[in-house]
Amino acid sequence: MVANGAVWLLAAAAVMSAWLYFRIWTLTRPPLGTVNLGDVSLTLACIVMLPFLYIWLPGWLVGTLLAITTLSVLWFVVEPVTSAPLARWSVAGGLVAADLLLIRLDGSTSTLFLLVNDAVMLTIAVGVSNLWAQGGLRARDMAILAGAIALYDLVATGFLPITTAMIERLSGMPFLPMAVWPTGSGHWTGIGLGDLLMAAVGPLVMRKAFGRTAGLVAMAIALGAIAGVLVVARWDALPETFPTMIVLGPIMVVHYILWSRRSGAERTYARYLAEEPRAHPSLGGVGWGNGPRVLANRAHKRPAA
Amino acid sequence: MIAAALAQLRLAASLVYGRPIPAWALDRLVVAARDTVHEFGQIAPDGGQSLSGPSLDKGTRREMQLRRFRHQAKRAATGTAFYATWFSDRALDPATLTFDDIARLPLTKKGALRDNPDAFVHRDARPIHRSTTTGTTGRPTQVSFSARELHAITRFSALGNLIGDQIRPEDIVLNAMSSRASLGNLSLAGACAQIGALLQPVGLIDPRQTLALIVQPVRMPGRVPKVSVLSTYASYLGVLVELGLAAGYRPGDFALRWISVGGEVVTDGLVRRARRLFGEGVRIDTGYAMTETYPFAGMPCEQGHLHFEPSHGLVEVLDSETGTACQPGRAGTLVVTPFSPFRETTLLLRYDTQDVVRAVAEPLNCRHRHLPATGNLLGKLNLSVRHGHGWTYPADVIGALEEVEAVPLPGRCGFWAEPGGVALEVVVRKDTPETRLMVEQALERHGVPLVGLRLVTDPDELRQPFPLRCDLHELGFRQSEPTLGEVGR
Repeated sequence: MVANGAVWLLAAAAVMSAWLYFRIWTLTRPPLGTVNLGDVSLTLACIVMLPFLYIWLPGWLVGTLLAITTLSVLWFVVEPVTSAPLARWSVAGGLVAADLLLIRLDGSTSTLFLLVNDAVMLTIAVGVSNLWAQGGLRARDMAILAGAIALYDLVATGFLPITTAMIERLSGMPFLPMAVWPTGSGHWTGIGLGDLLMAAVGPLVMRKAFGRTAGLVAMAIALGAIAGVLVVARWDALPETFPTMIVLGPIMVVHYILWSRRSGAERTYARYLAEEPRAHPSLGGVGWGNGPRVLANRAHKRPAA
Repeated sequence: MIAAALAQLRLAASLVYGRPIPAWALDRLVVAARDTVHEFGQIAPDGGQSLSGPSLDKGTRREMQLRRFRHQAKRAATGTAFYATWFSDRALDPATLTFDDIARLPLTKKGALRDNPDAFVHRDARPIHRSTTTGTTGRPTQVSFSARELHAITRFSALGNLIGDQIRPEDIVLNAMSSRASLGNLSLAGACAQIGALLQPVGLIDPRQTLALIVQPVRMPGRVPKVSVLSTYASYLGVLVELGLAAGYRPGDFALRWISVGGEVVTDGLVRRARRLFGEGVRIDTGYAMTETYPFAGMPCEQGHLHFEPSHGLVEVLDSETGTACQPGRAGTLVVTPFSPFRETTLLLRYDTQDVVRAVAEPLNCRHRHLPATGNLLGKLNLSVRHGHGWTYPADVIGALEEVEAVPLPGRCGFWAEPGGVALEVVVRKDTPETRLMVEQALERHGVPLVGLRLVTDPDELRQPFPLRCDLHELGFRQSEPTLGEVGR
């Protein structure tokens, strides 16, 4: 029960940190283009393809790819927070180095490694959700993404062993794409980075599109759905690997439809900022990284590899 | 966003290697630019770099331009009637040209293009549009363009206007250019269509009617309430300003946000008086472009330079008498070689535009310092005057005259060389000693060695009137009805 509560707190930390980051810091966008349905389609394609790549590619290559992607995302998340390049690289590089070092010294089941890895995953969830929301992702496209991921998860996890195989492959590697909490005896329970990401991006995009209330409701929905899954999982009423998006995805779709009918057209990012100006508009200014796509998206309870 | 990034990469490859730009890449970029403006209100200042490629140091830029010149020269030598003989007569291999060789190549004169325009058309090209210049300096010149070039012109125009925050989707754009300026008009019309702005092409009609259209309220969903963008010539803008101020219009009567003015020398006096009528907040931009070398164009900077994209073409400033490169500070004519992929049909090497500019000293410290630059346009060489003290250019004279409030806009005048300097006649509101003194002082400030001044109050009294594009009237069967007193007030 403690572990499940801790996992929920990790998820809540990711969602609320993303919310705060959205209100304080600005990630510099590429000058041309917005995150649109094409990008959503590409994201979905990556979600489908990545598990196969993670399973088939040699371990050293997967680890290298994860390390590079993680480092770039962390750097871009930290960039607007401090203008000192040394501080940026220290935080981003320090986290990546710690993740690599701890798994080598203590193994993938050590509490210290899992805590550092959680910090890395939370930061990635904060960064990528903000990249999408500040990149102009529309609530409609986010709802499409959420619905599609829910369907995919139903197939890939419910009927096929793809997700479980991928998690087994990655669980002994650095940058495990999950926020987890040890349950003792080398076991842990956790939530996938993809779930964290969708839980974090929902409130941001709904706030941008329909206002603060819509964002807060989205936040409550996300944290409520995760809590529900964790509670049911505690009663052993779910399979060992259960995708949270199967629950959260449809609710996000319905939530979007309700607000869309209530408010009509979505706000643009410019209108959102005009109507809800930031307290510290001068903060910000960074580059844009191609953040990792959803790597895994499930609340997971399984023994460590 | 990913699609836009791919389109940018594809465009960059075309710019680096001079290969044709695929239509999908430009279309995708326009969509991305439009989406960006819709979502974020504007495009970040570095948006322009995504179209022009990376900034190059001088050495790399020269190397790239030499490679592109050779490529274009090879195409011209093998594909056009004019340049085939041009190179064979001189036993030159275009593939091995050096910058010294280029400097020794003869200039392509306007007369050669005017006399035989088809000799410059590449044999593999399929022109679908033959544009004629307005012919203000003589018989019109004809320049042919392919469908791909026109497609690229409109897309680049749309991108430039979106990135520069010049035309927005909600804008109403009034185009008061000569209807014979077909290439510029097509470019603007295509850009507006791509952006989603409402274009009103009115031509050079009775300026009272144009003013009436500018102040006329427009009630369309998603549109600004009145004309917000005006595209016109400097002299026609002068006419509008003069008429508007005389009729008692004030900035509150207008909703103009941006005025694109070109085709002629744009003076500080004109800009100042235009702001008095249209409002201090109105943005007035000028630039440099001509049909023969389009879409190769000059961008002004805050220090008054004209900057040119090195990947679009090679620009030289040559002394009109010696034909050699001008030293910084000296005036010469712009000589332009537009590169592929921007120019694929009518190929021109070292085209002598007869437009006079000053060479500028490098390094520069303006915002476009990484781009080759010249001074601002001084006017056409054949409208300039050579005298004992050197040259007097239209920009010197018109610039001085339009500073003087007693001279109505546009500054109408005539000037010619006389022993010891320049004699000048000018239209003023009232021929008084005070006016004469102000005109003389302004001319002196602009370095015009005045040896005779004749003031007139009627333009018809000018003996050698300087040609102005506002006089390219497009007449109706009868004079237009609305008067300024009836319109919009």
